[in-house]
Amino acid sequence: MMNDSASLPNWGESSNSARSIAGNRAAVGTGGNRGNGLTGIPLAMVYSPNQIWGAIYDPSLALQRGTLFPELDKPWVGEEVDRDD
Amino acid sequence: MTDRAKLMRQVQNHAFALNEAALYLDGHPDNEKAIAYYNRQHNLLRQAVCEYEMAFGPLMQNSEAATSGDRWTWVDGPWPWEGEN
Repeated sequence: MMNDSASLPNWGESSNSARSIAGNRAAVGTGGNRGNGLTGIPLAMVYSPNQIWGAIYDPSLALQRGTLFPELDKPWVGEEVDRDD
Repeated sequence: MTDRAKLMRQVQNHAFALNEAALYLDGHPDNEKAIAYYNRQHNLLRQAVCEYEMAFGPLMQNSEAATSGDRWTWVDGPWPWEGEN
């Protein structure tokens, strides 16, 4: 089955400005029709705001949690902290 | 936890906190609170390493404790793969 070869998406006038990418959402390559209302939305987009130095864990807790920063401590399901003291 | 494990854990705690602060500073090099925290953990780490080494000999081969007096004391402690006794 010959795969469809895609041409370069049209990112709009300046290629790296987020506004121009958002503005041209319909025109850019977004992975085709997904039939779930997300057609035309970019497949992936990093969300990484500036991190403020705020409350931090005590070193011994930080090591157990794998991070010094509560805002980065994501307790995924099925994960448990090793308490050996 | 044996005394040795307790002192080792103390070293690990501060080493981890120091490394986490360093990662934050990579992105926020002028943050005063982060720098103060880094300096504090750096000191606490040095003290923890010193406390460990006074009781159990050099923690790293290039530590000053490896040549205390006229002996290469690095060989007196357990080899890294011998683990906790």
